[in-house]
Amino acid sequence: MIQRCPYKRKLLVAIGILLALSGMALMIGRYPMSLEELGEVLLGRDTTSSLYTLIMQIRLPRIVIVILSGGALSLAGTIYQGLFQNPLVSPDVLGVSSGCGVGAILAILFFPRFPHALQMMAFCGGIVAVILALIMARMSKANKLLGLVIAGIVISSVASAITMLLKYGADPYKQLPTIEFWLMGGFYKANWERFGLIWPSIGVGIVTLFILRWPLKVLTLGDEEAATLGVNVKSIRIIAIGAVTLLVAAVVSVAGVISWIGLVAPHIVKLLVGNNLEKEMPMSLCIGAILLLVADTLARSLYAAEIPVSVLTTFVGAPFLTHLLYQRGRAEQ
Amino acid sequence: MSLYIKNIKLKRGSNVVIEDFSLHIKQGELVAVLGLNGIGKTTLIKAIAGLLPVVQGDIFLNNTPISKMKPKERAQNLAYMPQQMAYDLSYTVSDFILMGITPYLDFWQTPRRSDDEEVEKVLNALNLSYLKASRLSQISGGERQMVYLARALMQKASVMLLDEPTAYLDFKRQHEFLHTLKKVKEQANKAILIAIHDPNLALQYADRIVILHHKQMLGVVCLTEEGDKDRKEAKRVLIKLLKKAYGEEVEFNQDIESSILYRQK
Repeated sequence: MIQRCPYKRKLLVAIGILLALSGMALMIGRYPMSLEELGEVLLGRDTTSSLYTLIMQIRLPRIVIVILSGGALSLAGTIYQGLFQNPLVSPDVLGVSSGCGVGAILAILFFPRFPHALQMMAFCGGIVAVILALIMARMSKANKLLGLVIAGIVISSVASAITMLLKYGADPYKQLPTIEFWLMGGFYKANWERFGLIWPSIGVGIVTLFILRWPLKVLTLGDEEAATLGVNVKSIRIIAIGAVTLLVAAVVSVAGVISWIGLVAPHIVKLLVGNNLEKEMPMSLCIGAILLLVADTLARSLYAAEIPVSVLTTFVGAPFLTHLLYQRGRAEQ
Repeated sequence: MSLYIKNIKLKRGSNVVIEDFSLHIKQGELVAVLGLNGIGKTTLIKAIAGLLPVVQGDIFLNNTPISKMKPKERAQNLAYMPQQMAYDLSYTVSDFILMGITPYLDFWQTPRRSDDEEVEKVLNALNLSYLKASRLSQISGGERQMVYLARALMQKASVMLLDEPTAYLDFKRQHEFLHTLKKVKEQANKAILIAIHDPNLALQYADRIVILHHKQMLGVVCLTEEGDKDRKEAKRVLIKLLKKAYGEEVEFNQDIESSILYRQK
C-alpha cells in the first residue's frame, strides 16, 4: 500500500511525522507542562520562566542536534551502501568512528581542561582515520572498493587497539569512567554551543552529497560502467567519502558512537521509496532523524536515569533488521 | 566520426596481449572481431572504451586522440556495452536508460523532463515500452541486452563497442539482437565494433570481420563486396583465416550459403 503513494506525498508525511514527534519530544520529560505553556514559550511570549530555559536552552537544542545527527548518520549510510554496492556497509566502514574515539580519549587524557578540546580532537581523529584508510587503499590497483573496505578494517582495528591501550593506561578513578561514558554515546550534554560546532560540518556534508546526487547514482552501477558514461569515478568517490566523513565525524564528536542508525535506516528508506538514490537521499534524512529522535526521547524518559541512546537504537535496530530479513525471505519464495 | 586504431599494443598485467594492431572503422560499418577465448577481444574493446591503458600507439576519433579526451567527451562519442552486469539490478528499465544521458550533464546537474521524453522515444524505437517500469532483475537476458542497447542510444555516441553481447542469449535472441543492432547502425549511421565468438553470426550480420590470433590481427575480410565472385573470394579468405585461428577442423558448408562447420575427426 505504501508503494502506491507518490513519492512527494511520502516525503511530506515523513516531514510531518518528524515535526509532530519534535513537538511531542519538547513536552516529554521530567517537568510537566501544558500545550498552552509550550505555545507561550515557542511563540516568544514567555521569555523569563524556568520553562523557557528548559525548552529553549535544554530541550530544543537537544532535539535539533538529535534530528541533525540522525539525518546525517542515515544519509551517510545510504550513500555508503550505494557507493560500496553493499547493503551491509555502515558509515563506519572506513574507520571514522574508531578514529574519533582515539581523538576523544587523547583529549580526555591529556587536555581535560581545554574547552571543546574533546570535540575537536574527536573530529580530527575521525578525519585522520579516513585519510589513512584512503592512503592505504591506494595500494589496491584492481578492486578499489575491496581495497577501501580492507583498509577500513585495518584502520578500525588499529584504532581499537590504541583505544584499548589508552584505556589501560588511564586513571581508573577519574579518567576511565569519563572515557567509557563518552564511548557509550549520548546527547545529554547537547546545547546550542555544540550545535554551533557541528552544523557547518553537517551542512557542508549534506549539501555536497545533494549536489553530487546524479553522478553518485550512476556510480552505483560500478566503476567501469560509470566511467564509460563519463563520470569521473575517482573524484566523485573521494568527494563523497569526504562529505560522509564530515557528517559522521561531526556527529560522533558531540554524541559519541551511535550505533545502528547508519546501518538500518537506509534499509527502511529503501523499503519506503524503492531503489533510487535520488529519492532515497531526502527520505534518508527524515527517517534517520525520526528514528534517532524516538530513541533519544525514550532514552531520557523511560527511567529516572538516562540510558545511553545506543542501547535503544540497538534494541530497535536489531529486531528491525531481523524483520527485514524475514520479509526478504518471504518475498523470495 | 571514424575510429582509427593505430599500431596499438595492449598488456594484461605483464603479458603482451595485442601487438601492433591497426584498424579503421567508418560510420555505417559493423566490424566483428573473432578469436579464441582469452585472445584479447575483451581487452581490445575495453582499451578502446578507455577502461584499460594503451601501452603503445594511439586510438583516434576522427583526428582527436581518445587519450586526450575528457571522460565526458569520450562518453559522448563512444558507447560501451559490457559482457556482464555486476551490480544491483533493482533499477527500473526507464531509470537505467535515463542514465545514458549522463555524458551530457555536468556533475551538479540531473536529467530534465526532455530527457525523460527521450527515454520514451528510445523505448518505442526498440519496441521495449512494455518494459518501462520493470526492474532489471525481472526481465530476461535478451531483454536486458536490448535495454543496454537503448541506454547506448541515449548516449547518442557515433561509435558503439559491444563485448560479446550474444554470449548469454539463446539462439533466437542472438539473431534478434544482432538484427536490431544492424538496423540501428543503418538508421543512425553508427560505427560498431563487436566482439563475437560465433563465426556464423559474424558472417550473417557484419560488414567486415577481423580475426585475432597470437597477439596479431590475422586478417580482415570485407563481406560487402558487390560481385558474386568477390563475395565467394571473401568467404574463401575467411575460411583460410579461421582455419589458422581455430584449427583445421573449420570447414565451409558448401550446401548452405552462409554457414561454417566444425567437423571433428
